[in-house]
Amino acid sequence: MTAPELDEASAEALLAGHGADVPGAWSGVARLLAPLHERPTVGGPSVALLDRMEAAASPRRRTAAPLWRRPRVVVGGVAAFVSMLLGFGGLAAANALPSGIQSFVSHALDHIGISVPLPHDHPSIGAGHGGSRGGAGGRGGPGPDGSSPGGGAGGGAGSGASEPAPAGSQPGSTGDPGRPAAGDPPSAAVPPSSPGNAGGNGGGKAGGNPNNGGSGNGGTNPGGGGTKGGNAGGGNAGSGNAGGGNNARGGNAGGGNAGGGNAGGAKSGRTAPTNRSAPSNPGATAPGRNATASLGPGNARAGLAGTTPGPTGSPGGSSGGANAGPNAGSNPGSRPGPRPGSDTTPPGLGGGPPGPAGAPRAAGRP
Amino acid sequence: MLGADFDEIVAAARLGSRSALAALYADLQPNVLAYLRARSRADAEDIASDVWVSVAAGLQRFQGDESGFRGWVFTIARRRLVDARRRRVRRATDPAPREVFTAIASDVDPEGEVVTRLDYEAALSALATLPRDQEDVVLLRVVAGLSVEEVGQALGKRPGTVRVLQHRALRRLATVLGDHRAAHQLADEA
Repeated sequence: MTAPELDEASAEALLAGHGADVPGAWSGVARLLAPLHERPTVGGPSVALLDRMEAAASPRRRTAAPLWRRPRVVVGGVAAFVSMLLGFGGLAAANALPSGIQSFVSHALDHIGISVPLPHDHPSIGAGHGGSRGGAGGRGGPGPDGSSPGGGAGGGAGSGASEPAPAGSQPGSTGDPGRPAAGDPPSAAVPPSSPGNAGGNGGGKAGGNPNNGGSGNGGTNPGGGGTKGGNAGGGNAGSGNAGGGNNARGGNAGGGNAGGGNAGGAKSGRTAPTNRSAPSNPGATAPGRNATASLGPGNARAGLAGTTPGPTGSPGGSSGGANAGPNAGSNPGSRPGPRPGSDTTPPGLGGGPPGPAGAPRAAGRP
Repeated sequence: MLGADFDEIVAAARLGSRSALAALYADLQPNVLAYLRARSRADAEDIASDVWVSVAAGLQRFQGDESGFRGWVFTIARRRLVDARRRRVRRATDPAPREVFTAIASDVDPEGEVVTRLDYEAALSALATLPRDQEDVVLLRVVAGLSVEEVGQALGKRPGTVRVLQHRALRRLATVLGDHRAAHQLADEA
């Protein structure tokens, strides 16, 4: 059944309870809604209710919550603390804090095992400090045919340079001679002859090939160089390739290593800063030139790299590279080995004793 | 209706005047209670008390005229109803309506009271067949006595929407009644 039409006025009359004003077809709806128009009889509010209403309506002063109990304050404080911690930590890690604060933070964090550079750890100020240890001697190795044993070069000693040293101005201690190769007397052990920061590095590793003669310098703990990177220079120089003994292009390799790698190994565990300095060392490029020079006959002598002075007291990486390069290149006349020494030459017996300790650093790190 | 005195009464009520609060209560409580009884017979009185406490507490924030005040009061009433239903679900009890005891104790004509009661219940039963929003509109318009605008404010709807809803509700009630009447006529003829 469909409902009859209803205009708006009739609808209003129905809802307002004016049943007489609605069409007859809607009278049933009017009668249905009529009981709903009755209002209950109510008296005034009870005293209890009025009390509650009065208490609710009265303007009340809220006591301010303590500062530490306000959520926004707490959250803001925590956020500020974390931000400060992160920011401070980042600046400290970047060695960007003032030296006093940086030193304090570094020492404080060292206690909890977090390594943060000291103010003087910055790569740009690492020059001029003497290396702490001399390089170890290299190892001599017999030639494949035993006829031309290679001799290990002397291990380098750390220099005692305490200030930024001019090139070659700080004599390095003499390196220890390399240990002769087994069965063969060392034939090309080259004593360190030049002063310098590069503490000299070990004896040749090879020397195995008769044509090559003694080769690269195996020094691992070279002196010389600056406080941080300084050690590096020598070390890499002696990393076996400098002399070119293993390879006809030995000098090339030696130079390359000299500039780079050992830069990090110098100071106890603080590898990162010095490694960063390594790529920028001019020493890295020096070997390149030297490599060309050493393309000639194989190196008769090796291990010079570690024994020559660093050109400067600047970061060791550079000194190492410089040392390696010139020396590698200064071994002309030797014929290049018929094949790489690493293939033909068994390793030497063992590294020579480490070079004498370099002079204590006078004014290195505070 | 308070009329011209409304602003003054509300201002006094905001300061905690008992007489002003009592005036507001007396003006709207019958409508509020009727609406609440239609919605929740069991605890209409308690809900009404909560409504008035909430009204008193919210007077500082209220802004508007008397029509707006009525709509605002019924907005609060609907919210307190929802709260009461939630409490009832948690409590899981169904006390006897207060009217039962009032009717028993009253000295009015019991027969007339029963007839009125039946008519009232029948009207609510008929309204219960409507969709929820249509039922709300009819209750607020008929039981609470609100205008279209006030209902719109209480329900959060536009006046045009309220008019549409009430029109549909009335047509639906007429259809239901017609069906019942036709059914009764068929039954009588049989």
